[in-house]
Amino acid sequence: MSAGGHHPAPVSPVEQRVAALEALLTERGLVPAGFIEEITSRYEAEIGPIYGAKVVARSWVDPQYKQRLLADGTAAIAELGFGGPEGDHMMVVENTPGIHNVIVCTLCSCYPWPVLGLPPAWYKDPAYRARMVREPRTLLAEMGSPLPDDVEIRVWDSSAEVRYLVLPERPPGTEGMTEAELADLVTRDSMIGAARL
Amino acid sequence: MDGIHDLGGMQGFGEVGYSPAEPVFRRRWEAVARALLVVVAGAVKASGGGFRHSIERMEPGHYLTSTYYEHWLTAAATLAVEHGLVTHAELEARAGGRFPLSGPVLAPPVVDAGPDVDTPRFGVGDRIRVRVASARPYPLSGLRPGEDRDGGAGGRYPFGARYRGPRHRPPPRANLFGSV
Repeated sequence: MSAGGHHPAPVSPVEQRVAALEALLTERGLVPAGFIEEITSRYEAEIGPIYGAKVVARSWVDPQYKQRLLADGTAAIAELGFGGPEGDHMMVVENTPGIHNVIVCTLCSCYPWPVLGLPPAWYKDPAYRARMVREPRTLLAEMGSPLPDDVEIRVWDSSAEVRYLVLPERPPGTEGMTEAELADLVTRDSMIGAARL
Repeated sequence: MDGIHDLGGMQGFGEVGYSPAEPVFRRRWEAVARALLVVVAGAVKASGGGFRHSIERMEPGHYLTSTYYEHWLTAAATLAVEHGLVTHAELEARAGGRFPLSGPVLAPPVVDAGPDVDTPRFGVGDRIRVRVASARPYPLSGLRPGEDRDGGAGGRYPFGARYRGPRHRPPPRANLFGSV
């Protein structure tokens, strides 16, 4: 072992394959300079659940906005300046004391990018996709959000065209909070429906 | 069309590796793989359906045992090879080992979806019978009438589908990376 030396982890086979494809495409002039970093930083640093949280907070303080949001999600979300790829057709589904909504994409990973950013790994992996449409009550309890038996669960299977956003219930004791403070309460998973606030 | 990606209702999966917060990309290669698929899909003018299908036709064992962004890598490489941007041999030589690609296209592209239909065929509240096109039983078909999917008290998820009426009209063709 060299003194003070740092041995980097060996490159895994998948990393070698990524590097091979990147190198060949770059050599063919197909990868614009800075493109990889730009597209990565857009979803790492910019677009994320805070956008959806602002939509939710606005709907809590403005009943007319909420009605517009439920009637035409895409347009109402665009009012706040959000929209774009994978959010061309948004449908917002409202949680009530008797109804809990949860979204999934059984076939791939469809998710409302413009308001939530990129989906977490568990949303895209087989177990969630297979189980949420078959045993939502059991799975939500496993994931830490058990629901009373008298709450109806609605599972929305996203498609290439239509994306869903769950509108969670406003927590009690938040009267008097500013819109910004309310947005801070809204978690990503409450807008997926995997958790409640 | 059947495929390993059609996971809804499939049994045998265990715990969801749930976490409330995690990095967008666990390793840098995931971010690069994602960007490369965007590059390739743009270069070959792949539709959203064509891109998704390039993942759907991965070998089932490979699909289930690889992580999400390895699916994107495989799709990017497959489309690149199929459209002549690179060869499979070059990829394997550069990678220093096997570079598994997806299988051949299984579903031909729809060239004529027929005329748009504006008049709904059913009324709100109608009970409709659905004919399943998939080769594998649809998850709902495993239930007896009145049986709850969770094995709890029956009746909450009735066997028949209930038509709720047109809630929205999706656009005619959704492009993966932007609007039509």
